[in-house]
Amino acid sequence: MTRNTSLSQAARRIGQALVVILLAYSFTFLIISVLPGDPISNMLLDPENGFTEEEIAPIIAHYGLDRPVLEQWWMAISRFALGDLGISLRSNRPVSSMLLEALPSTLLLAGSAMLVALLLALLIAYASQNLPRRWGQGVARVLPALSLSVPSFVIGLVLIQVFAFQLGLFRITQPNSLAATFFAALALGIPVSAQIAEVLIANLDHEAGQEYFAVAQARGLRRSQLFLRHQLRPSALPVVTMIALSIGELLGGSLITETIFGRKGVGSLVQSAVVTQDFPVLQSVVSLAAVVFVLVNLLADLLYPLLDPRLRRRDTAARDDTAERLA
Amino acid sequence: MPIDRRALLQLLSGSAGMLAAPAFAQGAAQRRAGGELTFLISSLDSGWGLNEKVDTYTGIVWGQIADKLVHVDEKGDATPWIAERWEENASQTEFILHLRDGVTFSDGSPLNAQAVAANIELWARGDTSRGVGRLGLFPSTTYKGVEALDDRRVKVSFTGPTLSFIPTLGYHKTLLRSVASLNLKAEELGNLDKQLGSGPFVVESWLEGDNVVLRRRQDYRWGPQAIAHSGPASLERITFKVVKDAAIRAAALQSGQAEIALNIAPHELRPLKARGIRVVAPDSLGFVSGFSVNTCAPHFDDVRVRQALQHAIDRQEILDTVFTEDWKPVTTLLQPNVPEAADLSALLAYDPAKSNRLLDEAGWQRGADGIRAKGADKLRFNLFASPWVNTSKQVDEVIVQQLQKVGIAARLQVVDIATFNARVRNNDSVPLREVSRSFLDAGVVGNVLTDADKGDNWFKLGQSNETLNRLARDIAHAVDRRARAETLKEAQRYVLEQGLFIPTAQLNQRLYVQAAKVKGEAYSGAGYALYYGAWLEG
Repeated sequence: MTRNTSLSQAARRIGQALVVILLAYSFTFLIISVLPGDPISNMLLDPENGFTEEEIAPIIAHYGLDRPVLEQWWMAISRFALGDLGISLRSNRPVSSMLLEALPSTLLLAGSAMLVALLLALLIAYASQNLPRRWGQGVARVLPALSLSVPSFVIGLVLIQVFAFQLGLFRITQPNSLAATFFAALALGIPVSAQIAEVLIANLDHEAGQEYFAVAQARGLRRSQLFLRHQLRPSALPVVTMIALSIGELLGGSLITETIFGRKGVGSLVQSAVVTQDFPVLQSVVSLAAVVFVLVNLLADLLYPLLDPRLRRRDTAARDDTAERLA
Repeated sequence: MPIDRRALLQLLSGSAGMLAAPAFAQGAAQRRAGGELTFLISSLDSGWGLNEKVDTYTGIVWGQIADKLVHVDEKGDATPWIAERWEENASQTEFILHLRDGVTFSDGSPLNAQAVAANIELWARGDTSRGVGRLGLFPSTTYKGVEALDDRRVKVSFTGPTLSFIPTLGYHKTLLRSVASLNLKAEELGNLDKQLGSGPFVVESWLEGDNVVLRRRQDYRWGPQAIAHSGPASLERITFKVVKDAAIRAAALQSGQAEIALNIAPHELRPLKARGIRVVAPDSLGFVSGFSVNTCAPHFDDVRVRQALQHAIDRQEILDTVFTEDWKPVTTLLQPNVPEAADLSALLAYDPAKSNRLLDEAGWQRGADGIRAKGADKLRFNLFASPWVNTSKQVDEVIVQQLQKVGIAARLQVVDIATFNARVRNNDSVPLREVSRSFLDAGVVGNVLTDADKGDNWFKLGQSNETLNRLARDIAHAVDRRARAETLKEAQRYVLEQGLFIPTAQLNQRLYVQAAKVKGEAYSGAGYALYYGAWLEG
């Protein structure tokens, strides 16, 4: 019975995820369809070409852009439901190939940025609690607000100017090198680290005021033990939530970071797709982002009980209750 | 964004001058084989499809991968390339192209008459079943057909005189591709691995919208006759890399991470030059930057209003404010290097007193706010900056201030391409439409004057103006270039006198900012670089 409940919960989550993805796909379609013009007109009605609307009409018809919006939506979503992401109107290539080309670079950048963000946040949070002088702790507490107030593109430009052009540590023409990836991850990760650090510091402060912390302190535990066992671990739950929420920040930030660092990725793919109204690409990327969000949230839900034993117990008790009632 | 990226980078690069490439003496340098050239470009977004998929950026890459039938220089003169010679009949309706022997595409397939015929047919008609439009500049309206007479001779026929045919063969989009590439399925057209040319470089690797790495083709020996080089290209490799931010392109060039950067903002050029970096603004055939005037727009049916505008614009101030010495003053509606361009500077003289007089005569009186009005009707309109020209907004800002001085209120609107097409293209309430159009043969001028033969009808006069009808007809039916040049000069004078076109500045769409060590490159008549003869000094 318990197994059946879990299965039905899983089925419900998958169903919800599918609805979210289809809604994201349709919503993107809706937004693009209310924009003026169409990608073919935008491309061909350049005054350089000297075309008339009549001349480009057959091309627009070839791509089905002359059909009613509802029909276009139905055609697109039918294809999408079968796993066909369509052909890019701009590049004449399958969108799936373009996504596969762009995805690894963005995953690497976003993953590295998250790692950088976590490390920085931990360092700042540790410093805010454990620096020997009060002013040192104060500086650590101000750092997140400072980092948040500097846009990632400014951080990126400073890093490029200093480390690429002045010190020659990486080449802007080789954006996928280890050094270039590190600095791009730094630019993207610093603002995210600030958000995580703020949440972490607030929770560490809260834990430090608890009775069990005072007891542990009285038992004479070392500072690092106190921090890890009695402050950081209970504070991890909101951090996991924060990480899940930061995925959007990372995906959005990758657009700017990839553009500045000259990296080819999903962000730069979106940027050119927006400019050219290449909606098969845009819809696919938005749907991909929805998939990532769904997966990350699912992962966060699964992690909560592992990090907080109280949630595990509550879950087990709830399951026992249900079993009893059904029996 | 609230912070100007360029200002920030300039601030940060205070000592970057120390790292800049030193100025090299421009003496007689020895050609050196080998070397790699890195070219920073702002976009490769248009993909690698056929005909109109080639844009101003990918056109530069294509220029190294694919050959053309002729090379057209900055004066519009066509010289042999893959077509080693050509014949034309007296009525300019039939052309026979004689092709070079032994030319092959990079897959080894022959570039013969059949391949050339297939290319010409696709340029002229396109293939709507695969979403491929015809080539905009190709003279399709008079195109009759193409025939391969044998392996090395191609006959092209037109229903009327087509003086523009041969020069058009040197256009940056009339690229010769292998027959297999032309026949690819729609979803394969953008795959650069399958788009094969016969040029001096072949594709080594590429990433969609990001970079293309080209490698020298060792067996290449059919470069344009006009370029003083034979055999394979000197450069071993060329890397085209997209760097969208112009300030980063400039900084990368200064620090020696690249040899060439395309299109840096004009105000950044002087400091770069001071650091020994060369700015090459190749002469480009076409119209100058300016506005075609819609005579259907309110108040612009009055020639006095149009002429007032013509004299209210101080073109020297535009040059001094927005551009550098790399931009030449405009003398007519055609670029200064177009052989048929007339010197009509007098018609474009800045004369605000004359503008005021013309507007007074037309009944537009200045109101208390300084704006001219006829009763409740004010002389004001929206001025849309061209989304296709980088410097358009800055130029238009100056123009808005200049027009204000004579009592005309122009409100600057900066919009994207989609909005521009929706709000400007067929909107008769918009009087000025910014033009940016290149060509390789000035016969195009005849096609914009009226709507006859699918003409562009720039001034929205249709066929109501007898003078324009005659000029358009004479240009279209011309069979002699010299006689046509006279008609073209008459057309320029008439259009400017009537205030139907308001030139603003020379159109430099491709500005190559490059290290002094880059030598031997050439440019087509449309300003596209050819690196076949290029090498790196030192």
